[in-house]
Amino acid sequence: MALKRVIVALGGSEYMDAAVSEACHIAARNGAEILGIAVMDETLVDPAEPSPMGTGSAAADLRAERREKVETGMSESIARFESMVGAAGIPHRTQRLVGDAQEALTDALRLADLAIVGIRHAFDYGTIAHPDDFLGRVARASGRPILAMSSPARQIDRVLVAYDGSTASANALRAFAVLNGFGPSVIRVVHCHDEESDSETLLEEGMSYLRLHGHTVEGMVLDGDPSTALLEHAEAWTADMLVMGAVGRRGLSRLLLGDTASSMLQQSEIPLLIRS
Amino acid sequence: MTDETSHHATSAQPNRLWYANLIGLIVLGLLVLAPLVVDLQGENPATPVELEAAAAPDGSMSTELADAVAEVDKSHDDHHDVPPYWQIGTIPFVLLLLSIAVLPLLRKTMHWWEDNTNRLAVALGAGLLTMLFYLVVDGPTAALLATEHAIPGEYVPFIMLLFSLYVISGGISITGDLKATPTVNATFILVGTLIASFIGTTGASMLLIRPLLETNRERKHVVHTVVFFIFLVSNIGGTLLPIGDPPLFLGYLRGVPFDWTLILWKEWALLGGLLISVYWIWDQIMVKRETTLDILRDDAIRRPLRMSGSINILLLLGVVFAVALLDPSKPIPGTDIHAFPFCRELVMLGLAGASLAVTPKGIRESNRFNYHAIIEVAALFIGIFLSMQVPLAVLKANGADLGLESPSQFFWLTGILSSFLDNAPTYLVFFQTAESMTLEGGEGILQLQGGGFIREDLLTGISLGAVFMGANTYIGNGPNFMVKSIAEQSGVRMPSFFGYMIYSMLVLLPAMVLVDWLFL
Repeated sequence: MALKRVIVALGGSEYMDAAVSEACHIAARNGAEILGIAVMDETLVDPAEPSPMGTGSAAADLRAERREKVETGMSESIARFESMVGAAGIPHRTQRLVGDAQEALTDALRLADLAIVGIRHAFDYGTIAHPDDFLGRVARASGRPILAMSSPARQIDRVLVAYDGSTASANALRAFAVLNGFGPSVIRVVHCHDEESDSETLLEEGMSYLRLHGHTVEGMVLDGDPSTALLEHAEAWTADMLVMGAVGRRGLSRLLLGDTASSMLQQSEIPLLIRS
Repeated sequence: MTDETSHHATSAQPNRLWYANLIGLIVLGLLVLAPLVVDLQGENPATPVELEAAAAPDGSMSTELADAVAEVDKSHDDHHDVPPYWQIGTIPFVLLLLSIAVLPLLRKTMHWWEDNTNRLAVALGAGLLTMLFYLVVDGPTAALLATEHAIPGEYVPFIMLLFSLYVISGGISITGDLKATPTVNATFILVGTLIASFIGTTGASMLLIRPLLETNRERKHVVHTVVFFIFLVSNIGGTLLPIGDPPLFLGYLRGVPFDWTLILWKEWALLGGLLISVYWIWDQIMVKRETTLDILRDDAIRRPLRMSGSINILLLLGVVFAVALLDPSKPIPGTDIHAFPFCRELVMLGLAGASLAVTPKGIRESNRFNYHAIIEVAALFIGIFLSMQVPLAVLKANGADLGLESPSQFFWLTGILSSFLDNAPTYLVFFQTAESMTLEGGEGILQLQGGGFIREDLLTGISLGAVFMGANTYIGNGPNFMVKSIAEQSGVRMPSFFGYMIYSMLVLLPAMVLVDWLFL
C-alpha cells in the first residue's frame, strides 16, 4: 500500500508550520499529494449559548468578532501553506470549510491516507479552543492514522511504538508499517507491564511484524502507569515519534481507568501517530 | 465569502415583522389610553377617566379603576381575582420564558433571535395573547385593568429607570493601568461593591471592568479576578437600594419604601467582607505563579487612573433622588406636594438627555456605547410584564396555599430560579406569593405604600435570593455576561458556563448557606 493523499490541518498556530513541513517530507517520499484544510469550527466560533436578557447583542458582537478573527486566520494560513508547499514543488489543493471541525476532518479523511494536525491546536486560529481529546475523537471517527505534530518539525529517526495487544494498538502499529511514511533507523516496541498479559510474547508479536517490513527493531518492557512511563521513556531514549492506539474512554471509565492517548495528546512534546 | 454577502442581504431587507410590531404597539397604546374614553363601569357613560389618575405609575389605581376592580372581585367572589381558565392564561407567559431560554440555543433560531424586531414580535405576541385571554374570559374591563397595571404601572417606570441608568453610566469612563497587586485588585472590587447600589450593578460593572482588565493585562492568571468581580460588583454590591438591582426596583414600584433595602446592610457587608478577603488570599497565591518577567512588565507599564465624564456622577445622583423623592403615591418628603404622575420618569428622561448633551465626545465611543442592550430589554419586558398578569393574579389569590413558609425557603427558591432566569420576574412571583400570605399588619410586617402588607422576613429572603444568587451563573444577571464578554474580548480565557458554576459552587454556595444560617 502506498500513501497517496496526505491531509494537513491549516490551523494557524506554530504547530501548523511543523505539520506542513512534515507533510511535504512524507508526500515527497511517497509521491503523494497534499490536501490542506482550513475549517471554521462553527460550534466553537458561533456557539448557540445562553445569555441573560439584554446581553443578546453583546453575545452576537462577540460571535461576529470571533468569526472575523478566524476568517482572517484561515486566509493567512492558506496563503502560508500554499507558499510553503509551492516552494517544495509538491502537488496540492486547499479546502476552506465551515462546520463542525471533527466532522469536516473525518469527512476529508474518507479518501485520504493520513492526516497531519497540530498536536494541541487543530483549527483554533488563536481564537478558540478544541476539546482536549479532539484528535482522539477524529482518529476514532475516521479510522485513519492521525499524526499529531509537535513543534518544531524534526527528522523522524527513532520511533517508539507502544503495543499492548489491543486492536487499536495493533492498528496503529500496522498503519505505521504499511504507510511507509517515515524512514526510521531504529524502532523500539514497548509494552507497559501488567498482571494479565505476557509482555515478552506481546513484544515479539509486534516486533516480528515490523521486521517483515524490513525495519531494525528492538523491544522493551516498561513499568508503571502507561501515560507517564511512555513519556518518560520517550524522553530518556530521545524518541522522535511515538506510535500508539487511540482507545478512547469516555466519562466515568476515563476518570477511573484513564485514557492514555488523550493524556499523551495533552502532554507530549514529540509527534504522536495514533489510530483507533 | 458567501457568509458575509448573505448577511448584508438580510440586513438590507426590511424585517417583515416590523409592521406586525407596529400594529401590536398601536393596539397596546390604544389599550393603555382606553380609560380616557371608555367608562370602565359601563353604567354612567361620559365620565372620562383622566389619564393621570388611571395610569398612576406606582401601580395604584384611580377610583374608577378601583371601583371596577371591586366590581370584578364581586363577580368572582368565590375564586378571588383568579381569572377562569387561568391554566390557559398562563401559557403565553410560559411560552415567552421558554422562547427566551431556548431560541438562542437552537442553531436554526439563534440568528433569527438576534434581531430585536423578532424579539419584540414574540414578546408582543405573548402580551397581546394574554390581553385577548382576559378579554374573552373576563371581559374588556379585566383586559384594560391588566394592561394598565402592566404598562403604565410597571413597565414604563422600570424601563425608564434602566434606560436613564444605562445612558448616564455609559457616559463615564475610567482609564488607567495600575500595578496589579492583590490589594489593588481587591480595592477595585471593593469600590465596585460600594458604588453598585447607587449606580446599578450594570453601571458599576461597565465602569470598572475595563480599567481592572487593563491593570491586569500583563498578568496570566486573571480569571479568578473577573469571577470575583462578577460575584460582588455585578450582583451582591447592588443590594442596598432599589437603584442597585432591577428586582429591588420592582419591589419599590410595588410599594416597598425606598430606604427599606438599607436594612440588608448586614448581609451585604458580611458577604462583601468575606468574599473580598477570600479573593485577596486567592490572588496572593495566584500572583506568585506569575513569571518574574510578567511582573516586571506590569511594574513598568503604568498609567494613573483617570476619570472622564464625571458630570454624569451628578446626574446619577439625580436619578437616585428622583426615585427616592418623586413617588406619586405619597407627598414629597417635608411637603404636602404630590409629584404628578410620570414626573419621576420625566425627570429621569431629562437627566438621560442631559447626559447625552453634556458628555464629552469620545467617551461613549471608548465605552463602545450603543442602545442594543436596552432595546433588547425593553422589547422583551413588554411581553413579560403583560403576560405575567395571569400568573401573578393566581399567586395573589392562592400563593398562601403553596406551602412556602420560612424566609429560608423563599431565599433558596428565589435564588435558584434567579440563577437561571431573569431575577426581576422571579422576584415579582415570590413577592406576590409572600404578599398573599400576609393578611394584616403587625410586628415584623411591612405596610406597602400602595396598600397591602408583606412579612419583612420573607421580603428579606426574596430580596437576598434574587440579588445574591444572580451571581451563580453567567445567565443569572445581565452584567455577568457583559463582564465575561468584555474579558474575552481583551484576551482572558473565561471558563465555560459550567466551569464558571464550579467557582460559584465552591465559593458562593457556602457563603449563601452562611447567610441563611446567620440571618434567615
